[in-house]
Amino acid sequence: MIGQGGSLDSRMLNVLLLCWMALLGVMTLLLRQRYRLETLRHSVEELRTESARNAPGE
Amino acid sequence: MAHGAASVVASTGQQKWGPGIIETLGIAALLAFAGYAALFIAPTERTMGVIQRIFYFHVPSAWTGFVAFFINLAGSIAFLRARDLKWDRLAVASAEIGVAFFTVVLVTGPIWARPVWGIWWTWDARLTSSFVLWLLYVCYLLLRTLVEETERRAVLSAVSASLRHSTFPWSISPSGCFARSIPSR
Repeated sequence: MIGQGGSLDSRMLNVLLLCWMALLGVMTLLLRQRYRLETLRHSVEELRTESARNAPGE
Repeated sequence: MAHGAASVVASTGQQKWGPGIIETLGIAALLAFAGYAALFIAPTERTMGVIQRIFYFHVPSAWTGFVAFFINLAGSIAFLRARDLKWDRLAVASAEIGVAFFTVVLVTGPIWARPVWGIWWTWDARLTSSFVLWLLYVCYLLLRTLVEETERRAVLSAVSASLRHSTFPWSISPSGCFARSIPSR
């Protein structure tokens, strides 16, 4: 039910905020994991560059 | 080389893999409860009916996507100021997550609009700018795969952030969750 003046019913607003909090939690979790993966990828890139630089014959 | 490799391995080896199980379970429980609340606790909207419940996934996904994109902007600016690659990593991580959430928005939006307004999509300012924002981020992620040099890739990505975020005001500006910028049936 939409309240007067186009505002949201308080129960709707509460559920909306609850859903947002849940999705923010998911986002935080994913962001942390994805950041760690990117850090690892960066480390692998560094190692690869280093090994190419020190490869015999170069 | 041995020293460099050892330090890299040591630094990555020290990382804890994954968030704590309790934290993950807590968020999973919160998500499950939020889903339950959206489907069973929230009252049914008078004119739209049950289909309006998609609003509880559509709008929070958009807000969360915007938060991720703001983190991307902050990471890009921080990288340009400090030239530290950790900010670039944060930027790309948040961009990918933002794209994922915005994909949810672009899929659930038409599903909501069709039965309510009688159309799947209309090219109004908010919808178009949201689509363009999503497209720009997809291009950003594709662009990153084309540049091999790490530093150069990070600089290009950070500079392009200003272009991407120029669509923000149009995406956000219409206030009110039920703003009728979409033509009625």
